[in-house]
Amino acid sequence: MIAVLFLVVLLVVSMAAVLFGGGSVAELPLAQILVLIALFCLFFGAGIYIAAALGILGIIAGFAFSTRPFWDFIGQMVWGPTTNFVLVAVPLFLLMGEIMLRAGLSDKLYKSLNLWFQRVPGGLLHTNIASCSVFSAISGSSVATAATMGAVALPYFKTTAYSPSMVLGSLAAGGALGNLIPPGITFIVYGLITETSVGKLYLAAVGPSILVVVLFTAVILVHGLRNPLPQPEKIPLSVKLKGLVDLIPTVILILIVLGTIYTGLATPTESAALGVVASIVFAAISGRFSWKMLNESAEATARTTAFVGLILCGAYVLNYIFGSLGVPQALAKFVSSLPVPPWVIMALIIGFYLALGTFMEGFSMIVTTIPVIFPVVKALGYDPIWFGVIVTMLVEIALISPPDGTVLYVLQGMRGTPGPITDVFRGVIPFMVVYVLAIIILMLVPELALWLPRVSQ
Amino acid sequence: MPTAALLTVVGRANRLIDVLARGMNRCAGWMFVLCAFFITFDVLARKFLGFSSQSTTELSGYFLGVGIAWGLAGALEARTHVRIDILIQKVPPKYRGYLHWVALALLAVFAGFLVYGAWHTTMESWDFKATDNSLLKTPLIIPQGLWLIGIGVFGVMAVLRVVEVTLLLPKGDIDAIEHLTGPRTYVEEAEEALEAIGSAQHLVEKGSDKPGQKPGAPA
Repeated sequence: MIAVLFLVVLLVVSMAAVLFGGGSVAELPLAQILVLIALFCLFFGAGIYIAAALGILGIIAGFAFSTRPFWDFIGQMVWGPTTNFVLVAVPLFLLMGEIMLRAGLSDKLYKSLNLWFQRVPGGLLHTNIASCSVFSAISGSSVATAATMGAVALPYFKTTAYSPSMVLGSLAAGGALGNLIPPGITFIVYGLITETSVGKLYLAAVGPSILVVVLFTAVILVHGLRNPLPQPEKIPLSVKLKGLVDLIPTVILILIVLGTIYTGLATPTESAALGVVASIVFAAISGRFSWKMLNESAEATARTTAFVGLILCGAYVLNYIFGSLGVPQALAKFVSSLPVPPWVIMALIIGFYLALGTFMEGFSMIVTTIPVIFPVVKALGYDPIWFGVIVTMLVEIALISPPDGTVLYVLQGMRGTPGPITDVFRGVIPFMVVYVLAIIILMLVPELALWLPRVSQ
Repeated sequence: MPTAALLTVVGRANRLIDVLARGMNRCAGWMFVLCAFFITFDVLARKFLGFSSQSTTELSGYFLGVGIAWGLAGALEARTHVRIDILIQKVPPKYRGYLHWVALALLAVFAGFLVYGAWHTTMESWDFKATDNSLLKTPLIIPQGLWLIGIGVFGVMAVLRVVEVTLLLPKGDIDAIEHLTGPRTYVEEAEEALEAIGSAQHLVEKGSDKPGQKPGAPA
């Protein structure tokens, strides 16, 4: 409800800006754009398939404004992007995530990290964040991260006095690192649509990832100091060091996937392929490989890829027609001529995404909005790489924002002791707040993201 | 033909195409597995053996395009295609069926345009005997033909779904309609992830690596 209210306010504000701002209103086909926006709202309200809403909107706009036989190009509009080598990384990273979800590679990771954290205030909760962060460095999917680590972590809390909502909240928050910590799927889709280098996006994500992990750790530390629990017995250093041996498979996977990308040995698509093969090998070594499991992973991957692909098809039809009509350019020109400083518009864009995120799933959010918003962001003078990181963070927040976040329901379904879903909601809120704080910090200090891609050139 | 008989026929056609869709979805999934092995082989061969197919970019692109097309119908069957459902959930069941019909009909129209576009592109490649620029000089008609088949089945399925829902509407059978087309809830999505873990858990117990760790059954 808050989200809808925000969208309405945004509309009113932009209308007011149009009325009082002057600028280049005359150049903008305002009436047509308003009709399109109205249609868009209607489509979404009626629960139309997102892909169809985008595609049909494009086709209507084409029939209304275009003089060319655009329908003959639909095949080309769709064939090009859906056979793009960059996009091949998406099903491959999804497949890798599905395999790891079923292979249970994560329990040893959790156990060995736990040895190091259990005496810190906040104890096991730190292990949740730490193991999710490490797992995120091999997985590009947030749901897979939360589900995999949740399955391992929750049994550890069964007989403890930890606050259940904090346990679930920290795991959900840890899941929300899945896409931000490279390699993430969101970056690939963003890179494809905006023609930005995925490798650079991955480099830019390093700083913000560390920032978010530090902020999450701070939340847990504060919680741990406020609600002290009896300290478990001290573990000798030799045991701790021995435990590190269990991290080896994970470290090898990270080297294979991220190592090859960062050293320039492989493109993200190639490293995703290597990751798939490596995760199958590790599943086989740990005795959890079966053809049934691989088949299930493959089918789940195909379904997800198809839905992402169809939305991309719709978006590309819409883009083609919008592009040939010059809508994004006109919008960009109009917004940059508004008499407000760029950061106000950026804040509005971020607020818009936060609102959208409460009811829309991440992929759809990006594919639907980026083609229109990206030219505006560029016209305002913001760095495309920086904005890619911001958008990915916003998508992650969307995944854990109550009441509609897949990650939250995954954890609710896994908890051993029954309780209301509001436990999860309550637990995740502090993490969401610091996530938003991280975005604000990144707005104030863009170098946090942009430094690494620049020096590595 | 009376409506009831027609409904039976359309229902049967839909169940048949469901089977086809699941089969094609499975093919699409294995295409991605194959693609992973193919790219890995190419990377390793390039690095260590000094040769490569030099067609990775094109071929894996075809895998993706065809994989998406062949997965479309399966995703419709599994109701994975995303809809925004915040408002539709608040509509009383009596009227909700009509909204589902509108959503499906628009999807079918969009699918129709896609089929037309794919047909046009494929025929153009056929007429010009077009090949790609890779070393293999793959005739484009092969990947595009497969692609057209995937999109075509998706289009037929969308139309069949519209017909079935049209026939179900007068009966007011909202449950049957939503079983066909209702948006998937976050709970359903979460359940799928849990089922996946459940199968891992099952294997763990069999391997008796760590017994007694149960993540809990799907809610």
